[in-house]
Amino acid sequence: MKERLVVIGNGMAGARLVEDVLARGGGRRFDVAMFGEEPYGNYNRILLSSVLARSHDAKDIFINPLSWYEQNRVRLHAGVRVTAIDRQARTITGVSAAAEPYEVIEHYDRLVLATGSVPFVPPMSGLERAEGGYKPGVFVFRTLQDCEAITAYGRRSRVAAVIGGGLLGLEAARGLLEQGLEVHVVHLMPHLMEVQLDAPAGSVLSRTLRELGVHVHLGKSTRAILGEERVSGLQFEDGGTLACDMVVVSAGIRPNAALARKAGLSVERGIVVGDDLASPEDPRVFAVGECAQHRGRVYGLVAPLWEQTQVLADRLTGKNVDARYEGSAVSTKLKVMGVELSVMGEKEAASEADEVATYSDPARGVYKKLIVREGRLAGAILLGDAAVAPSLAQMFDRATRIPGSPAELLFPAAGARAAASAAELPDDAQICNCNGVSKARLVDAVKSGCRSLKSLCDATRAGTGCGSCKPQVQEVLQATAGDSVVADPAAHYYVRGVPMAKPELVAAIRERRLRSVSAVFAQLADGKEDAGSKAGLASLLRTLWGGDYVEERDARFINDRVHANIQRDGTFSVVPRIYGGVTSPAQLRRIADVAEKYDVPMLKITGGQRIDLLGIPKEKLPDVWRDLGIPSGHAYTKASRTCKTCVGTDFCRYGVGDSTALGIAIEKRFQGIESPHKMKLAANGCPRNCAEATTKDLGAVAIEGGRWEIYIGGAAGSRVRKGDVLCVVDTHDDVLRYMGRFMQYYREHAKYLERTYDFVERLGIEKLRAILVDDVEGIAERLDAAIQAAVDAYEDPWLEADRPIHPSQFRSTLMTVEAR
Amino acid sequence: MEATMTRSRTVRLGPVEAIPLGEGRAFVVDGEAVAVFRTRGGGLFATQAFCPHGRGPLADGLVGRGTVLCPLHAFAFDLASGRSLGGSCADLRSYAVSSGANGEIVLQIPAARERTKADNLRQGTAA
Amino acid sequence: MKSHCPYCALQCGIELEGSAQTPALVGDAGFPVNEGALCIKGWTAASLLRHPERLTSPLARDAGGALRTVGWDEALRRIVDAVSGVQARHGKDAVGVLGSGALTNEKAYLLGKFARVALGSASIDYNGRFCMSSAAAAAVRAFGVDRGLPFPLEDIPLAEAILLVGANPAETMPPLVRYFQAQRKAGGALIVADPRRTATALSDALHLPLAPGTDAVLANGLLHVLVRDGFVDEDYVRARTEGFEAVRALCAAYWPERVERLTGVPQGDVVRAARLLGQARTAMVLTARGAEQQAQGVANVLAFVNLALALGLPGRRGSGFGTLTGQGNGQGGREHGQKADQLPGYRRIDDPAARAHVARVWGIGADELPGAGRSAFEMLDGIGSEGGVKALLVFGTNPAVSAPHGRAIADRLARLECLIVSDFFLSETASLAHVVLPSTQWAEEDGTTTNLEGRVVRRRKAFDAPRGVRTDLEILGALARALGQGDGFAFESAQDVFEELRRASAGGPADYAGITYERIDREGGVFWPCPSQDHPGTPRLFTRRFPTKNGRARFHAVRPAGPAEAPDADYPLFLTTGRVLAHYQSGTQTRRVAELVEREPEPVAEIHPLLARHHGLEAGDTLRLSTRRGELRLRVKLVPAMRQDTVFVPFHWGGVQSANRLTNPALDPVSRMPEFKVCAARIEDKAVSAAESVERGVA
Repeated sequence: MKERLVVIGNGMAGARLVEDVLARGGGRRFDVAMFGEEPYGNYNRILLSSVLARSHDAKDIFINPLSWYEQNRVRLHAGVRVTAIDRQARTITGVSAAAEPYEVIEHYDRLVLATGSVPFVPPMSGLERAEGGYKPGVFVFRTLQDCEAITAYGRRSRVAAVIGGGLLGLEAARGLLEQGLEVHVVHLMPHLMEVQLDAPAGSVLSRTLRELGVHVHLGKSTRAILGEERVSGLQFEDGGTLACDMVVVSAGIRPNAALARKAGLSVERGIVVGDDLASPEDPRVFAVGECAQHRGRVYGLVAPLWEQTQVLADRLTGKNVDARYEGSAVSTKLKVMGVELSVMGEKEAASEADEVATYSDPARGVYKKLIVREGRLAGAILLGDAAVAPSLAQMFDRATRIPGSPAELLFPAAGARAAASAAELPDDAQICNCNGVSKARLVDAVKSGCRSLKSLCDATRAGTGCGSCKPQVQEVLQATAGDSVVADPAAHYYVRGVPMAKPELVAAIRERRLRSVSAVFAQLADGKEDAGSKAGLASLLRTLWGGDYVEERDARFINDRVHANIQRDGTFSVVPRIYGGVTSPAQLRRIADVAEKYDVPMLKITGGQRIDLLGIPKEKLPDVWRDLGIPSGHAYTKASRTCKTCVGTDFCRYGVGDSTALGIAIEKRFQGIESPHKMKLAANGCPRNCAEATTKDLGAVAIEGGRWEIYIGGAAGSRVRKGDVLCVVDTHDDVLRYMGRFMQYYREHAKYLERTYDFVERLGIEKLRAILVDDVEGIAERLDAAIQAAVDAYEDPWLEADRPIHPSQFRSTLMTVEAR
Repeated sequence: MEATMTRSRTVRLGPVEAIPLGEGRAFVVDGEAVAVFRTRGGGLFATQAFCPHGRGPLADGLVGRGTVLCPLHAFAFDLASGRSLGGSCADLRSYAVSSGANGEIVLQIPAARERTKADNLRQGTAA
Repeated sequence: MKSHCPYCALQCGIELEGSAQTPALVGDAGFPVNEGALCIKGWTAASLLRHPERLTSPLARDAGGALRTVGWDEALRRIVDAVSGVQARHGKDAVGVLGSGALTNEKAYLLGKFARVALGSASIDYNGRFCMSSAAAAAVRAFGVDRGLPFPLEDIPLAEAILLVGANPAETMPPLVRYFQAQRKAGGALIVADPRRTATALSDALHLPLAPGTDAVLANGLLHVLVRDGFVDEDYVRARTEGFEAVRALCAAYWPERVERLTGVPQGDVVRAARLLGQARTAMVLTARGAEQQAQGVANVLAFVNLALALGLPGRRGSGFGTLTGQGNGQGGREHGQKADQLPGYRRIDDPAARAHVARVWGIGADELPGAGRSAFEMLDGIGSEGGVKALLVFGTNPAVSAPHGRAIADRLARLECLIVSDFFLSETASLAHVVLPSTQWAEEDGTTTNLEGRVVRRRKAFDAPRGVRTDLEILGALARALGQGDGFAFESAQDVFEELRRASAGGPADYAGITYERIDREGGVFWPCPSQDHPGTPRLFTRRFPTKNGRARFHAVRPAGPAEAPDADYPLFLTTGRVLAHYQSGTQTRRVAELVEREPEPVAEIHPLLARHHGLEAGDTLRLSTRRGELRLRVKLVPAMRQDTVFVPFHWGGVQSANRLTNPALDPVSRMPEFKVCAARIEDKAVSAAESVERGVA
């Protein structure tokens, strides 16, 4: 026959105790019954203020849903209020709060009182209605129901007053603030949280809260709550008044010990218990939590409660019958958004012997105080500093001897090593951790002839492990070898297959009039054609020769062979040109028809404001283009892509420049212009940047006075970079001119596959301004002419639908042969 | 799997000119997908049609100096041996191919039943 | 000749040229895992092949109890006499076998077969107990299968956020760090949870400096925030998992302020970390020994698995949960039957179907197969007590250094009637042995290993072994024959053994049936499971279902218990142990490489400068660090980034320098993993004079 364990109270202490008992196998020993006044399982009362502040959903704070009690065979009488304890008969009597109240009687062998506490409401007039109950607008803050009631009433209110500036009061205030109310905290004492804080800390806290928008009234005792039908304000003893729509009373809590008193157990402030957590009168009756008084102390924080339940569970289950509860050192954190406050132990020094260290910076909302007694932390107040609190709290909890002097503990321990530049490091400093290569060894290697990063790494093994030290190795190389550094030659070639840097290559191509990729291989790479170099050369030749370039389609990446973007499954995506993203019903209808006719698997709006038809087989491309009857959108090639626009002045309330018209002009002019890498463009009608022009390769942003900022080198890919302003101009034509000028310069000088954001960073915006705006090299005119030539040479590649350059240009499989 | 080389048959795949100079095109022989490449040097090569890594259509790849780059992830393969260069992808099956007297593509293909299902899987025809 | 590094589970590709006398070793640029990169251990790995201390002849105790060289026949005869004697007097199980995660798949497989068929003993386990067992047990419980990483390394850069728990790859597997760099280069976030601010956490990572032993609290706290802020992937949880409601409720009790109090991690960072994970479209949670080598190691791992499941990560590309396996073949080593409770193919030894299948492959009756034996630590700890093993064969491991409470273990080993050790150096354990057998090194033998991704790769013989040295496979074959059990052990080559392994593993969770040496050569490694030759292998697991009964992954409500031995008034500090870059495991190999010893000549105690000053210690002084189990004298290293309440000691040294003289042998109830990573310690106040510490050097 199992023993009968009855627990009165299903809150933080009661439910936790039962968990602890079950966790120790108590389920085999006890038949467990619980009484809970609230009509549901156990929730985390600590988080009520968070629910009030709407950072938590009520449903997310339940620790033990009703199902938990069933699964663990715990008989929970939810919504049943205990009315009597009969210690002779060892019975508990309770009454349900249901519509037709019924009575519940449980017998016990062991009884645990976890009745918690009740809010303390200081005497004042106008609190209740004549017919009983609080006046509408008056609330206490203790249960989930209170929480819901406050939230509901808050919706109809504007100003809320919180009576009580303690921990709970301030958390309630923060909650109300989050609900958008004007919040006043009315506190009886001269400073906030006087239980935990000394006066200076209290004043810094008031200041911080005021900055958050909380009105703090100190040293005010409330005489009356004003308002006939409902709350209209407060009146103070000093005669002053405060108009408000609701009042939350949070002036502290009192142990809920009425039952115990009635049952003849000794009760002082709380139910008296010894180190065994049993009542001195009755060894069968125990008390834990806010209702219990141990060694003269009553605890209102969760940590001590849970220490008590563990001790009691150890004793009840026999896991450790000698377990003793010897009191808790209390520390806590204020859960108020925007305020970092940790307090632990005592707030004032107890004697001359105590070492005290304080640091205060009210302007920054920082106040720190440590009290050290016999080498251990006796108390601490840490306000406005999240860094040191955690480690100190743990030292406090474990009562460890603190290393160093109190003052040292006030400030966070020195963090990780600062990354000094390799040049400044001492010679014995280890640069490559993986292979233990010191700076000295690198320097020697450089002196003995290593002049490139690769040769240096090969020689010393630096950077051959995780590779993270390569930048530092490079620094050492630079610092030691200075100008004589040669990076690995290949790194400087424009393409791997032709051993020339871009300038030489360009010179040679111009000089020898090399107009085709095969010609370049023949003359500059002694006939060795390199697959990986073909596309880069084609792009360069196109740039240099414009219309005179001799196309060899096999030198092109597949996308440029068939003017569509290859997908992972070998099919292609088709993006018709929609200038500036401005389209028409007819155009949309046509796209829709095509999508249906070829049942295109996916039809998608692209990041560049265009429409993408995905999953088209190569063979079908010409038909699709023909049926679309729209030029190519060039979404597949290393060229100028789309120009994203915002609505601009036509409809937008804020537009200051006609970004749509400009965007269309930009896209029309530069469509299909090939470049070392793709160029994304955009035009904004105002600095709100809806078209994200500041993070495009080229962007125009309208500013006041109808002028345009031209941004270059922006990025919003795996890397994000705000573009640099090349210049500010007055007209659309100017925008087109400078954009074109930059494009041509980029086309001529960037490495293959070097995006504008790397290019602009490499050269620096000042240099580019000098060349492109101030024309210090006198090449502006030539650049403008060259880009114009490129523009003139443009022809819509989709015309190849009707004149393919080779009969099998759009064929994948030429023939299928079956076994006979 | 080298057993696959023991018995094979000869297939004619039409005129070399059907493949643009310097490019490749796919053929399906006995359900086996084969890519045939015609290099600017005048050479003919044949490998399995799909990259083992991501099933990229190799016939769409860039060709040069006896290698082909997969159009999807740029893995490189030696056209003659099918060997994966750089090693980060499996090797390709390669086939004997030549241009006949009348300028026809002539492919030697292992007899179907000698091939393991695994080979087909790698070539995507059984997928 | 292409092969793979003998050290960690990355199994970096290596190319060996030259001769064993003058080996030329470079990283294999063609192997995708390391693309030519190696750490200092790999670079110097070949220097041990012709090391002067290399064992080249069997050793046996002479009448005077000294180890003397003997011939192979003599050595084998001694072993057979001892083994049959012990088994005659004390029963079959009285002869134990201890294997290792350093053995190739072939060796691990054959060792398991040897113990159960040739010896007929249930007493076999391996040192992975001290390494991977917690992660393995957790993975099996949660996902139904244990493969360290259920995805290839190439997925790492795709993750927008990665949470690394108790892992320090920057020192333990440097080439892996390249993947994390790529991930951050792509804009991804890295979060490192570790009591120490390690080299891994030094980078631009978000470091969560949790108190040792509070891993599960942190996990629950992170999940609390994910639930609170609505980051739980409810669809995934509904469709692919079970058991979330209990976990959701449990986590309600782990709000950030409380988690800060228990773990010491600022609540702001807890929230920040949770949001990085929650907001990422792709994310990974990766644990390692820091969280696993604890008395609640399995629970810790399960708590982090909960995170991954709540975020819907496992089975999604660029996402998932994984553990970073430690030993070279730590993965394969735990799949093929050298575990006490296991048969080849990751089968359970108590599963009748599994027994029937393996018995068939081994040509014996299922009833002849012994049942589950005792775990490594229990087998070692039981020596000398009733029912303990009386004779022990040890292959490729050094328990005298690597087991917890090391001194006690050394005493136990000394009480064996017969200790047989196969190794290529006279390790601390070998020096206690009655018979020592000289075995080949990595570059002198063929075989396969399975790296941390579950990728089966080939070690190839590059050089001949010194005369007088044999491979473990030959040794096991010879022993089996000498025991009159030769039939099942007549293998021509490692490949023969692998062929049998394929059949034995067929149909098991770790199914190698479709993997052949040829395929490995051709495809640069094959990922298991691979049930048939036409199966492409499985780089990514869980894409559609989990190999559990109902196809769902399981949440487990974890209520953290805290470390078995928490700091108290007498021992106020945390002691945690781990590795340093220059050394590997028990150091048997790396402590013989001059270049590595030069870097890390001796173990040091890493402590916070304030803690040092508090005890009147300066850098380079020697401190006396003690726990309830023993005391160590260690050189002081000041590390400002340490927690002020924690001491770190590396575990690569033996004897009076062995960190495991201090560690706590408390075991995880499920995995039997000892609590290496946390115990209570104190710094004895009297520092040791320089003179003393010098003489200590020779001790």
